[in-house]
Amino acid sequence: MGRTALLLVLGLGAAFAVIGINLRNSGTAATEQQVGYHKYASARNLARTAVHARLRAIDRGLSITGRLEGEFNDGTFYTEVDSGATLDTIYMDSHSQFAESTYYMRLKLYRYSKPYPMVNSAVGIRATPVDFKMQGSAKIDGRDHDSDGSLTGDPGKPGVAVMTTADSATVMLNGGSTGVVGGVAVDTTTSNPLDYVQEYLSNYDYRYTQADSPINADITWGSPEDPKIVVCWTPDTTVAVKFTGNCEGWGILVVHGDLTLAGTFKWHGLVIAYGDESMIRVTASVGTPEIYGGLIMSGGAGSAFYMRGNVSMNYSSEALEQARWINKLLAYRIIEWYE
Amino acid sequence: MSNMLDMVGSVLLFGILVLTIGRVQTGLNTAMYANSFTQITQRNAVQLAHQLEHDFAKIGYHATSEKIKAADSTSIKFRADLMNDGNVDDIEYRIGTKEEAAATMNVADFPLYRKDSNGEIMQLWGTTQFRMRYVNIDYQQLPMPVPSDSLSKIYAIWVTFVMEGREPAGSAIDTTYYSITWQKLIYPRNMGLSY
Repeated sequence: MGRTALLLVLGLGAAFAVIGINLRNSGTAATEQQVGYHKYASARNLARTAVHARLRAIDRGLSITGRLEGEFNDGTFYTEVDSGATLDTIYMDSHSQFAESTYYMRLKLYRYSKPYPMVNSAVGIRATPVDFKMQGSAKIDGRDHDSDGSLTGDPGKPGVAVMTTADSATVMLNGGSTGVVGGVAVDTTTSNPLDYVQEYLSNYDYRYTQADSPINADITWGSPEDPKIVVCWTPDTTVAVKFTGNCEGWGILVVHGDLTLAGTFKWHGLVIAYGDESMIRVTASVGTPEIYGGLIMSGGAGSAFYMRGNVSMNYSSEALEQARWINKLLAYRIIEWYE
Repeated sequence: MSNMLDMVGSVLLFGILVLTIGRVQTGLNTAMYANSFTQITQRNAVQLAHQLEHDFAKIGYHATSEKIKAADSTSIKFRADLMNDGNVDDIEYRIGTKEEAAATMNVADFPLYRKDSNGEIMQLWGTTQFRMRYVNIDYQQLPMPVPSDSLSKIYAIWVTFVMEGREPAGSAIDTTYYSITWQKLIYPRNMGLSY
């Protein structure tokens, strides 16, 4: 009897053990299904993260081509760009691994510049009436220059564009008739900087405030191959930001408030001086400041534009085009997306 | 007398033990069925999710025109180079009727049909709901069926499906079915829109 009871207990024990193992295996299999999908989804998300990381790196002028590796959230990824980002089309492979799950994506992206405030003259003035004075050897030249200042031979644009016929007469009467090459045009299509500056204010490479003025040092902002965004912000638009010294920059210069140029300041690209609805003053009267590209002044009625001495502002389609292609201002459109 | 009492007691104890084991066995069987069907349902849901993501993410890939040819709440027809081999295929998803899923014990499920150049396949996943909604770039839902002039404006597809076990959880006469709901907003990024 005792032996039978012992065998019975052992048999029952073995049966329960088998059932328990089956239950556990079944539960484990169900969990593996869930975890497996989680791994797959994580790998997929990593591959997409890799694409974004790579595009931001390209925006910053880093890792334009070749392989870029990274890791995130216990997973690893890398992207390979096999076509130069100097072209407008980018071919990118994105690989990721999370645990034993891998994911692969192949993309073809078109890179383009976002809407850009075009200026159809060397100086575009969006303020009416404008207080315009030009004296001495100051010069505004609408002929097309390359970004270094040499004439391209292209007739280019008007020297100055204003909003009304009365402003055109003001410019002509106050020095424009002798100092402006290319004439004075009435052009109401000069871009309103307010439509664009917010993005520049958010994506600046260098930022100055009125506390930094005068900016008097040997400074170089960017290069022809790597133009930058320089922002000067004065909450009080009656306060001027003054550039003097030996400064040179490429890209977009945005000034909120008054702008005073002096010294050997040289800018290749677009200069925007704006004052919301407030009156502003753009003044260049000392030294030999030079602008190659275009300048937009936008302010309230009575905004002033004074030039004298040896300042020169020259239209350059090449410099404006370089500024248009600042990496961080570019956008991407998907041509092909395979995953 | 003492031996007789022992024998009667043993019989009673044995009977109780057998009944207990029987109850435990029934409970364990139910638990094992539940685990098995849960696992099967989960696996089916994962596989269908994989399949939908694989196909829908490629909508319009290498297709130069008519990337989506028709779109309704329970069917979609699109063009894509699924294998990235240069061959653009017509792919179609649609649901069938409950009667067409008579092979399963679940009376609520219906088949899902997937058609490509190799033919149409009936998939008996145990789907009891399968619904698609389409939104434009402003995330406004498009009317259904999507008008032909709006097919090119499809920016993303909300896909929802509910999947139940093809067999009841407990026994053949049971009416309990394990179910899983899956929902995802899938972006077919080859539509030529801004993503």
